[in-house]
Amino acid sequence: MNTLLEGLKQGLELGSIFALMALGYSMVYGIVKMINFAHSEFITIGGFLAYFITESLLKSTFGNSIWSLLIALVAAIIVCVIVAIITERFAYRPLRKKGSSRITALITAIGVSYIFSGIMNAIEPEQLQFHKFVDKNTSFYIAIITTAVLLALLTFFVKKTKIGIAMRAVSENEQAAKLMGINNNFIIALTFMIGSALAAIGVVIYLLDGECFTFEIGSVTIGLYPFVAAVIGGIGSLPGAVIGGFLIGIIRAITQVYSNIGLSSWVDTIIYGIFVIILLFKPSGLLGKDVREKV
Amino acid sequence: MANTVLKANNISIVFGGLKAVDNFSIEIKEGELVGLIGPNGAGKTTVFNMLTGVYVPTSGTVELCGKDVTKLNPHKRVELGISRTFQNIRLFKRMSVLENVKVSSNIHMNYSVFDGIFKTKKYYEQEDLATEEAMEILKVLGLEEYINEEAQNLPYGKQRKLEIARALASRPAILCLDEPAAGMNPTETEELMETIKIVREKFNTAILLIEHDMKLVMGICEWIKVISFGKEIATGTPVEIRNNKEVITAYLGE
Repeated sequence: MNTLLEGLKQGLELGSIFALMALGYSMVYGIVKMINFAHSEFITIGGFLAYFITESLLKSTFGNSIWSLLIALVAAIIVCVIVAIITERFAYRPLRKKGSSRITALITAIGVSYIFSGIMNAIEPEQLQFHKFVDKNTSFYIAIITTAVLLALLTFFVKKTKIGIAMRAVSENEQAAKLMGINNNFIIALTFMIGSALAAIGVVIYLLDGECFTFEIGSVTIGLYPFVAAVIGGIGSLPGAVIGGFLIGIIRAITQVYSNIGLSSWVDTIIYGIFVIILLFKPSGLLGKDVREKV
Repeated sequence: MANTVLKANNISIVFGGLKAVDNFSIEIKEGELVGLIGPNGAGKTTVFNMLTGVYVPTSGTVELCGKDVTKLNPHKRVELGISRTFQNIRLFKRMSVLENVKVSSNIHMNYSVFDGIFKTKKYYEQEDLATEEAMEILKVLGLEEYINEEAQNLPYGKQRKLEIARALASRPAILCLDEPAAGMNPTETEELMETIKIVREKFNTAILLIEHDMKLVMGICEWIKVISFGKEIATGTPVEIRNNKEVITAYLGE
């Protein structure tokens, strides 16, 4: 029983981290109807940067203090945001401008993802261990609280501010939004920036209890889970992304708890099995709206 | 003497080998109500697209309130005072009526992302003002009871009016209406005529109107420009246009 509770707790922690990352996929898809596969590499870049900065700060006067972690977090956010701006500006925007098809954008995104992954592999192919700033219990609370606060802020932001309204307008009809005075390129870039900032926050929370990781943390270790979470929750829906994240995190953790009866090698089969069943009944995800054109 | 709000000097645009609009010029002064008519495919919407920045003309220039905007993005032109509706309704269907209008208030709010996150005084002041203004516009257009309704749920005629409301929230010096009466029955068209007159007076804006409904055009426009096959064939008052031989030929054939 104890292990089940432990598993649930771990699932909630992992779930809230997936949720933060899923928000990025979901918001970007919502606004440009493109799956930004490079998002997983934003996660890796955030993790790497936070690692290298904490390692050098540990030797400085900041040492083991919370300040080292906070500085690393802020730096990771800033760099991820810059990488997102560059990616959007030089890889995606030119395609959008030329009105290319969605498959072209998708392949470009996959290409960008491999490019970043290759660079990270060249920088550090070995496994790294993040400094253990807090214990497992504390990192659980940090994860839950951060996700709750950020979801609340983001929901308010999208619903109630002029920028949020502009985001939704661009997402529904980019051309009409432009002709109502919305600077669509700025709004799209801002969406990418928010998504990658959340990815950076997510990965730092993932690592801060002393996790080991490699350059494949974004593409393989965390991998498709946040994306799947976004789709299960209903892509484009913020609370949907969070619910999807929790769902996957919990299923994953619980199947791992029962690894003694041989469930652990079935983790992905179970997760994706549930995923397929949910989508059979709710093709647009749990909180997604059915899009049915009036004829 | 009233100032010129919109001026097009000999604009032309070529698609492939086809000259869709050929040397079109127009000058509209503050508060004028002008009609742009012509047979189907004459290039009226293409003119609108060049005026509002969807297309860049192959040659010629566009001036808005004295500034050359020929190469300017659509959203920058909106800031300078041009606004439009669409021939096929292009509302933000899943957003509320009020939100649709507030999209256009965006250019008049300048609070930052951080003001938005931390809900500063500036955020509240500007959002409240925008809401108030949007409500006022919606009231004039008779949509105030629908403010929280999703735009897609409004009846067709109200959707057309909502497009006008949304275009007004950017406080345009000139409002371009692309076939506002399309698909309306005679009673609705009559009502729309009244609305257009009220809008012009209340919001102090010039109006350029594309329309097929001759009763509407002849009834409210001060002067009219007629194009056919991309070329201007006549300019004049409604009475002059009605009796112009070339116009009659263009519409009815030889």
